[in-house]
Amino acid sequence: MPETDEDLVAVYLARGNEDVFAELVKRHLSGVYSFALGLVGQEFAAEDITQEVFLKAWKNIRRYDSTLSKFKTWLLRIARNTCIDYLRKRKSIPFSELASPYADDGADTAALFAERIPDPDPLPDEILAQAESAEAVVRAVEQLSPRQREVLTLHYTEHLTFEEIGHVLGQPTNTVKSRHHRALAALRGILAPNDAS
Amino acid sequence: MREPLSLCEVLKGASAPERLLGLALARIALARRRAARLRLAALTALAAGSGALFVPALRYAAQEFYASGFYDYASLLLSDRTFVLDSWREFSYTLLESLPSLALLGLVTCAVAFVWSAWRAVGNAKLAFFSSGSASPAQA
Repeated sequence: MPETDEDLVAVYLARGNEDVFAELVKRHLSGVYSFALGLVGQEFAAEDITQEVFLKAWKNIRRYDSTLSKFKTWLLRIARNTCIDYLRKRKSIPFSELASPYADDGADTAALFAERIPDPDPLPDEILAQAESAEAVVRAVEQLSPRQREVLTLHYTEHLTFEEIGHVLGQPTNTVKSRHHRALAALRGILAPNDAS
Repeated sequence: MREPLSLCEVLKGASAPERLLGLALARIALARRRAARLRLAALTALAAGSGALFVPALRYAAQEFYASGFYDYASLLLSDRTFVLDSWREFSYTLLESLPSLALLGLVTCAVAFVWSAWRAVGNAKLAFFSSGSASPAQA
């Protein structure tokens, strides 16, 4: 039976065998890279961030508490914070201000959604049905704000539950659900701007 | 007819480049060697310091040992064994009280510090200058 991440961490802490940590890196490398790429949008930066994430995880492995969160969740939290640091250094503006026209904060944006989106509860399948291609959806996701992109990436790419996403983002579960809902609504607005109903 | 897609399939994420695993592990190995070198420097300093203090501590302990009268009391074991056996409890207390405890504590501390730091320094030297090793931040 394959060992869980938490088992491997316990073995690593007990024996200090670097091959065990290397196995953890192999398991989560693509996930962390994909998440970083989704947030920063540049392959070279995502590679650098991924290396930094695993270095931080290695240095702070004794701080990981398996009773508080899964290892993957803990790792993605490090990844998110590292991405935020990178975006702040690159753009020299607060992360919260990095928004697309379809950002999920502000009354004006809510009004914009009300005009464009007849159905307040868009389902992911419905969004896909409206898209001409998967590439259109990916391009639409890129237009979302970093906060919206990270929720969609963590849920649909990393397959985290909303509670786990809340651990990664340091947000209550209901806030994550709300952000997810607004992200899907924004996605629908981008993909179907001419919906007249 | 187009096959239905799921958002999970569309947002399945990018695969990491093949070289990225090697790069990440190399970065960790570099940090591990750097940390081992820092520990080696600290342990070497401790070994050198405790080694340098060992000889003066030994001299001081010997001086205090002879000045305390412990040697005189201990020699009764050979010269007047009957007295020692009759009042062994008082004799034992007298011996213990006469021990130069502070000097002996200093001597033992120097010796233990030297042996421990020298042993750990050897272990860290392997990590610091050779590519593979089993020590980690978990066991540092």
